[in-house]
Amino acid sequence: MSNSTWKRISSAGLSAVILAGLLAGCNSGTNTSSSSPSSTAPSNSSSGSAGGSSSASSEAPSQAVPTLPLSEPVTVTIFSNFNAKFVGKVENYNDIPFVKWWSEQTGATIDFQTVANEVWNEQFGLKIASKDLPDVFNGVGPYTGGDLQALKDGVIVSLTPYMEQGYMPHLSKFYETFPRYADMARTSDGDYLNVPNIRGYGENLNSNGLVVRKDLLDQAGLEVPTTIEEWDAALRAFKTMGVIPFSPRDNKWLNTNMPFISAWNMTYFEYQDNGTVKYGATQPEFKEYLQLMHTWYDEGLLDPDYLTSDTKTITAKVSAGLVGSYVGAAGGNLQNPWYAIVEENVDSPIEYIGAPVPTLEKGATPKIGPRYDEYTANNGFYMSSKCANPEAVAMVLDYMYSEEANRALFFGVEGTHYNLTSDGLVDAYEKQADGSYKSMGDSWKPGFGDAGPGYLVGILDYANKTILDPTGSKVAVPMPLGDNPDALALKKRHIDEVRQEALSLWASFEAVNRVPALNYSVEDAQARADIYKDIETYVYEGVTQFIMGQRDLDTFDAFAAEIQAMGVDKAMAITQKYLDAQNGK
Amino acid sequence: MAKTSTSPGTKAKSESVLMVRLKDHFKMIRRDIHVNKHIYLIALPMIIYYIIFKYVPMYGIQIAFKDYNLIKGISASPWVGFKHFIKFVNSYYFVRVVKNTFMISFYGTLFAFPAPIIFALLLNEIRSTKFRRTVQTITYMPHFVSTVVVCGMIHMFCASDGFLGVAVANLLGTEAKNLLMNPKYFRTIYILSDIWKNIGWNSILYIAAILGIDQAQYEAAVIDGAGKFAQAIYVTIPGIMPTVIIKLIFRMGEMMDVGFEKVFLLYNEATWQVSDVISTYTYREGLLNMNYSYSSAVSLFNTVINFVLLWTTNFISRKVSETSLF
Repeated sequence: MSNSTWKRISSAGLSAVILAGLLAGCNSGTNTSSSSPSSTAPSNSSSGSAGGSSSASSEAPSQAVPTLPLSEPVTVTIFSNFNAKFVGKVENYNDIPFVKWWSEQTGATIDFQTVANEVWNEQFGLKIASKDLPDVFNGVGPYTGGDLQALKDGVIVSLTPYMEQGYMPHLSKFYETFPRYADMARTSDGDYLNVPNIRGYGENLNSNGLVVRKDLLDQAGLEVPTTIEEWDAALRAFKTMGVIPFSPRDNKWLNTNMPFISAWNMTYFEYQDNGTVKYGATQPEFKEYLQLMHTWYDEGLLDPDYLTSDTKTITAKVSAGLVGSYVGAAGGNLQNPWYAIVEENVDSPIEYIGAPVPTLEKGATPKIGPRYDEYTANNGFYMSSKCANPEAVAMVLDYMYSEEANRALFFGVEGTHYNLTSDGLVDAYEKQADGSYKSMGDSWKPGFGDAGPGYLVGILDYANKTILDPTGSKVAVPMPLGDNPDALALKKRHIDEVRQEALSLWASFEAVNRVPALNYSVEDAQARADIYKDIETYVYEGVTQFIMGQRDLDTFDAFAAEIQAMGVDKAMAITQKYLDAQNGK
Repeated sequence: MAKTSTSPGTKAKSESVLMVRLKDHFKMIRRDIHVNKHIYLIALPMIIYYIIFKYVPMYGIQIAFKDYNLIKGISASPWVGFKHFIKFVNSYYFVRVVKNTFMISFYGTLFAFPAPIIFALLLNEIRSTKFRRTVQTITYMPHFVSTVVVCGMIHMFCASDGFLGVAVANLLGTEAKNLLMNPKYFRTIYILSDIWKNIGWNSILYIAAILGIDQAQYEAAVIDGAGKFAQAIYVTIPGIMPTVIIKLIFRMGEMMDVGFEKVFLLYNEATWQVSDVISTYTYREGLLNMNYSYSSAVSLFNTVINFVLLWTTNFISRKVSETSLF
């Protein structure tokens, strides 16, 4: 097993995890920044032992700015939702080894106040109404009007002064090196409000996609479907084999992960066509889509219970081998149900593999697909207006953008959770007496999955999979192994091959028809949201009725006309205005 | 009293009469508290509960007429008059949520309200005490099962491979479909499961009322030649009528209140057209979108309608049957 590359993480890859290195590649799509990897490389060898102070002081413009660790004891309270990935593994983010390490390195007592995801919106409102604000909000998504309104209402404060005074050297350097992200994070007034959560680029933005049962395809003598026509054939074959041919989680899932609508190069809602904003549900092609979905539903090719399903029911069905295809996520539903299968029975023929974004014509490149934004407003750390020690808190938050913190987020501490080999590779596994390997990182991320504390919002929140480094070589992140050594071999192959392939297949589209994240003003954002809120409800309901045959497709024109009557043009005009501005029109 | 008279003597006299009456009244209350102090003690937690959880929060109702800002707080937020009420009445889904709320409640009153009464009447005819107790215990057990669990069971039963889903399909001779995805069945499922959950519990009150009927009336009825059925019609039902009417008045006061939990747990896009009710709408607007003022306005609107209904029913009842709440 020692030849398995997945265990070994090249130092170039390490630089990739370090933001500076990672993001160099996407600055302009090419490798223009050679300074970045070279500047990060030396510090790799001294990782783990390095505190924040060494790199911070060298960058800090002002002499007066103190260095980390803080000399005075400071408590930083962070109000945060609790990622479902951690449920059942830790009680609170405070129990995560990384957070303890973060506290030690910065000399601050970091105290997360976490609430379950399901009640996050309610609890967020209660928190603000209680006036007992924390020092830091981990995301302000539930606030009506978002971060801009929160700033206006005095819930949060701008970080710009602290950056200017040199309390946030790492973040400043990051923005300096990658102005592209600075542009995304900066408000129209020129303020930086958060320590952002940058998702990365490339395949990191595509973690969802179609998954099919390979063994059933082989049995039917079919290739992995790439067009709607081939999907039709595959689903029909699955039907004859007695499994549920396709199981979307629910109606919203059917849209947001765009398993099939993307074949028409649109979404249910807003999308763009050469710079013109359009609304999917009012387009004539949308009727074709509905017709197809209705046929599939009617003939039992869609899970008859999909509207009442949730992640748990789908996972249970997938683990039981009852589903022919579904929408999976790398690091989650793509492999976890299957891991359960092989852990139980290594000889199980069931195998799930990724399928590309489907198209109408064979060989065409889809113009849209499921994709996350690189930067999402309202995520990341925001400093509250009641923050007692803003300077110290700014420094503690800024530390998340240091190389050490980034590396620790994924691999842990050198010497304890991974070793650097003589040729500069990271080896996170120890050979045991019986010849098997044991993950050293387990104590760092007990059962969290591939990314470990990487799920903790901060930076690279979602790196639960591979990350591209500037030189283009792939970095695999260790995974929990389980007990069954035979299953382990299968899982390794899965990580190495199946998941890699799925990720590249899912990213096999150009997102040209996608409306990018735009910096709306508070008023425009509100006006747009007010219109779209009712329309979205109407669209979801209408789509469901069409698919289930409760509404005749002949009434599609009336359906589209109703959306027009609800003022879709007004909302689209707002988007158009900002899109034009971004396109430099 | 003595409105037209301006004589100071009469006025003083009338005042003193009033004072004496009040004093008497307080004295009576004091004596009553002294005599029945344990009963008052038992009532105290309830009185405190109502003050803390029902009266004090009424202060917050004002946010329905304000643009409530979390940071500024209730009193500092600007007044906007009926803005939020107008927005609700003009909103796209206004007619639908009001209609759905009313329809679910109306059918609930039509079917779920009489069910425990009929059940109590039937139970009353069972002579074996052991059997009656057993039936009673079994039927009121579901009341203690949490709504979330009940809805989980409904989801399973109504799935395309659930026993109800299959049973209905076999009955109609169609392919098995998920019943919860069909808007035609939503209200039926909602109300039937409601009856199942609450029939035993709600019948307790009626059973108690039946037990309170004077046995002499039955004896008289038997002498007059009344059979079991006639006894039920002419003795039992009139005997429990005051209880029924009071319960009905209460029910009217809840006419526009359809519990949030159960609808929320059972509805989906396919049934929104019949299942989206005021409370789920308020939840989405208020707690999910943080439009607190707006959702307060919607709730207040709802409460006012409920109050009007309650008052009207009470008024009619007082005129017609002389049984009323107030």
